[in-house]
Amino acid sequence: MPPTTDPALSALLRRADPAGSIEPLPPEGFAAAVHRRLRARASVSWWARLGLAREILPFASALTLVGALAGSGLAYAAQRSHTTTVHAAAYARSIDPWLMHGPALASLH
Amino acid sequence: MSRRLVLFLGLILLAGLVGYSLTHRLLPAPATDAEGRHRWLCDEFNLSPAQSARIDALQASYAPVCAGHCDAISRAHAAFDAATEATARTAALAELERLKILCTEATRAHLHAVAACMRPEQGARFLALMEPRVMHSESHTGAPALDGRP
Repeated sequence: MPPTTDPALSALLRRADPAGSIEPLPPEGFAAAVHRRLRARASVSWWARLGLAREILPFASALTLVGALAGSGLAYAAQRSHTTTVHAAAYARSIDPWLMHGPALASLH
Repeated sequence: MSRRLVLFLGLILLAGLVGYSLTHRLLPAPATDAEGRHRWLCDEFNLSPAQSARIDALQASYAPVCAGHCDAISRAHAAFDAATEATARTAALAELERLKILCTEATRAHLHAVAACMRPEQGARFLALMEPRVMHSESHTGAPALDGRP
């Protein structure tokens, strides 16, 4: 049977019941069928209501993992750079008598 | 479709922020005691046990030189503080300047000796990291504890 609903109505039906069928409804009793579907939404399970979320869950999980790994990598690189700076300064202080004890000569003039 | 794109980008950003924050909190702070510095030197510049032992020997032989310079600086600083006349203060300042140059040269020589124990590319990286920190120019001089600079 050729589809009788136009794209706007198909979009309306999908928003009303994302997990539901959007098969074209017969012309006779069309309005009643739409009304039934909208009322049936109240009895649809949460799992069905989360149809959109179910669709994108695998992709969203992968994106979350990628984002978390990228964030961790950035934190590790920043910590590594900070560690190098701190250790280099500590090492310089341990071998340079002037860094340990030298006064700020500019302040003595 | 654009709403999904915004949602996905927001998800990546949020996950990235959480990952960054958790990693930053869980990583240990750098240990700057003698053992920590030794471990850092070995890890950062990929030292072999033989290279590490040679550098340890260099550090041990340099320690008395460093201590001697420390004493000289302390004496010169005390002389400066005790000086009341202008000529005495000038002489004490000249001595401090001399000691600054002496310390800089001695420390640079020690750094080059340490770098020579490493592989050439690691030695070059070591010098690039450390030499600027011991070059006491007029604009950056003095112990961190005294002038507040790192």
